[in-house]
Amino acid sequence: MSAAESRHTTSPARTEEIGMADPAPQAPSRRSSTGAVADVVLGLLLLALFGWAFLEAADWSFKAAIFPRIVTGLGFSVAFLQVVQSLLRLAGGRRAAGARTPVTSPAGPIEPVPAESVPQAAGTTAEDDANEDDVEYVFQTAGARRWTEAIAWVTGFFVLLYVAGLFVTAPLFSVLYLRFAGKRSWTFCAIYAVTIGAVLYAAFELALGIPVPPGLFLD
Amino acid sequence: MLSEAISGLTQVFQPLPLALMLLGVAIGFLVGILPGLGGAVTLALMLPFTFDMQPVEAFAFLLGMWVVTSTTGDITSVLFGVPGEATSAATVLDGHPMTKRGEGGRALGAVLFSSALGAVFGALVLALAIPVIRPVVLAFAPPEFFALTMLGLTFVVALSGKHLLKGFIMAAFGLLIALVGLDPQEGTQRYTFEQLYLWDGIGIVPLVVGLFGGAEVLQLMLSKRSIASADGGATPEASLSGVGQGIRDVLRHWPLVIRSSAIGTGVGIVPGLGGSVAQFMAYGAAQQSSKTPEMFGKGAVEGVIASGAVNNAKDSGSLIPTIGFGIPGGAGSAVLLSAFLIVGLNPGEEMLTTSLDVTFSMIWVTVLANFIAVAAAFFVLKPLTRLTFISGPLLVPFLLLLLALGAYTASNSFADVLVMIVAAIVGVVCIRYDWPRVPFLLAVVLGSLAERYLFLSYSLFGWDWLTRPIVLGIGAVMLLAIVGPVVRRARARSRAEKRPEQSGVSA
Repeated sequence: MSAAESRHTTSPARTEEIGMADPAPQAPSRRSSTGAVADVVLGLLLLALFGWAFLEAADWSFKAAIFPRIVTGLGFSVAFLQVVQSLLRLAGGRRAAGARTPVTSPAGPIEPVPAESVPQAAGTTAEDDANEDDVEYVFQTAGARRWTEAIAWVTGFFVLLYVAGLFVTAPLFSVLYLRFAGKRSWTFCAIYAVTIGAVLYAAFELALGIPVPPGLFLD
Repeated sequence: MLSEAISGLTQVFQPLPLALMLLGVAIGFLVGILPGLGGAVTLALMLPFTFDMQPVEAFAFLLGMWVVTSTTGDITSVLFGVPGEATSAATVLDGHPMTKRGEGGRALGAVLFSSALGAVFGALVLALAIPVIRPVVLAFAPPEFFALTMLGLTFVVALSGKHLLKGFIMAAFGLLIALVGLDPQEGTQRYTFEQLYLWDGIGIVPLVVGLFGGAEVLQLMLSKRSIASADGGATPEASLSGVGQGIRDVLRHWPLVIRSSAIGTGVGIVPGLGGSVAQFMAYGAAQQSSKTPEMFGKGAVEGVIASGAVNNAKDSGSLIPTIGFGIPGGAGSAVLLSAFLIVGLNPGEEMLTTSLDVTFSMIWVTVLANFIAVAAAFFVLKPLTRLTFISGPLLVPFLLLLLALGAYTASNSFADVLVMIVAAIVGVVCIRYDWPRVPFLLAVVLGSLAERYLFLSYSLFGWDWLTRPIVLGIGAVMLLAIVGPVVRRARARSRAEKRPEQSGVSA
């Protein structure tokens, strides 16, 4: 079981890096088209997933397979439509961009353009939730460096949690993060870390008795 | 029914449920004030702690927390122009101008008091709805319930706006995720990759925690600023007098309170519409009926009253389909529905017959929690508003730990944490590239129910169930829900194409 688990940990960590980091390098280049490209890519991924899941269900008995077949069949068809639609939109968008604004369209990086295109990209999504919009804006505008930093911290946190367990990770991560990412004083970090460690220990170990991630050494 | 109502009340007034409710109210209070942390996220994070609780205790805790967030979210809307919750956005329109005018206290008094009244109205409707929906629920057989689950999904998809296809894909994706595990009829392993952990299916708790909480934490890490930046130049010490006048304003405009509450409850009942829509519908209605509509957006107390009342009424409204049919109206009630399943309550018939007292206890909690929160808000307003200036990085370690713990405690396995991480990636990708998350979540929650109903329908009626009148009727509504927005958009587009100069970029 533990071997299987460790295999597990490495693979999602990797996909996390790929999945989350890839917006960053794309983002600065062409904001309006990244959305469409991402739609095609994500659509294709889901198309493949539904296709695979549909085939997988072929071996099962009727009772076990009926609902999966309906779901994956429908999913496959809709994903197919979505891919076609966003490909068309991508092509149409390119054509329109070429026709409408010949000054900015040549693919070469023209300096003043990004300043305009950023609020545009945010504006097109503004119809949704007010709260969601905020998140969306942060995700869209955070640069590659911030993304890398944030993902590195998160990956570090979960690796540490897996290896060392909760009661080591809680204070240690707090100190490191607040000191180096939050730029707080050592004293502040120490107080925060001790408090959070003590509260967690008191709550989970002493009061509730709920198991927490033990780490590899206490298992 | 009366005896169950009283029994529900006495169950809430036991020491433990009461204490848990107060704890929930306190947490919801803070969360409501902190912009960026939403009610659904917090519900998700707190869900794991309810595993060992009795139903009444669990819902005293969760509901107490949830209903309060929409009340206190208004506080920052009024004082800083930063909505503490997405559903408090309409409060900003008039509440913040009032603060700038030096009438912050009056605005707060009005919004908090009308919130409390809205909650009472919503709860009353919820209680009165029970005798009405009980015969409906009892008359429904599996085919109708299956159709209803599909209807709930369709509504949520249709309201994901212009991304209809994306919404359907996400719903199908969610159903696929719900399929993982042993199938309920024959124990066939479906998509388990020979991992023992996956036999039980993918846990809803780690999934919800990651899907909503993960993105929230990452946002804090990326933006690195305090959650509310007071760009309007407002200080926490903005004039807080005049609360009494605000309360009198509410009493003077009581028809407005009732109408806004009715809109909130009505919109809340329809799955998928949700608070963001309800608040602006009530706001618009208030403006239309006002004697001074030109004052709206410049600090009209009526605007504040309407947005306060509608918020809290819609929570109770959305509980009606959740309790009666197991169809949550939005993200928050979807998480609540998973709480039903965790504590072993079956929505539908059971909640309206044998567990009716639990249902009533929930109604009481929504009322009590709101009153406690409003009363507390009046006392501790000043120190609480300073909370918004906590810097984001300070919360990050704490929230990351909550994410990890929330996921891990689901089944005490690190695999839960991995599920949470993957769900977080899905959530982040969804936000970044504008794919809707809520249809996905709802589909995961409803997936196993839907399959059970489908299978029961098939084994009871063959395929004949598809022609049952109510099923056909629900099917027609579904069709309308899908076709309606498409037609409307096509019409809007053709109108826009007639005047291409004005709206060039809309493609």
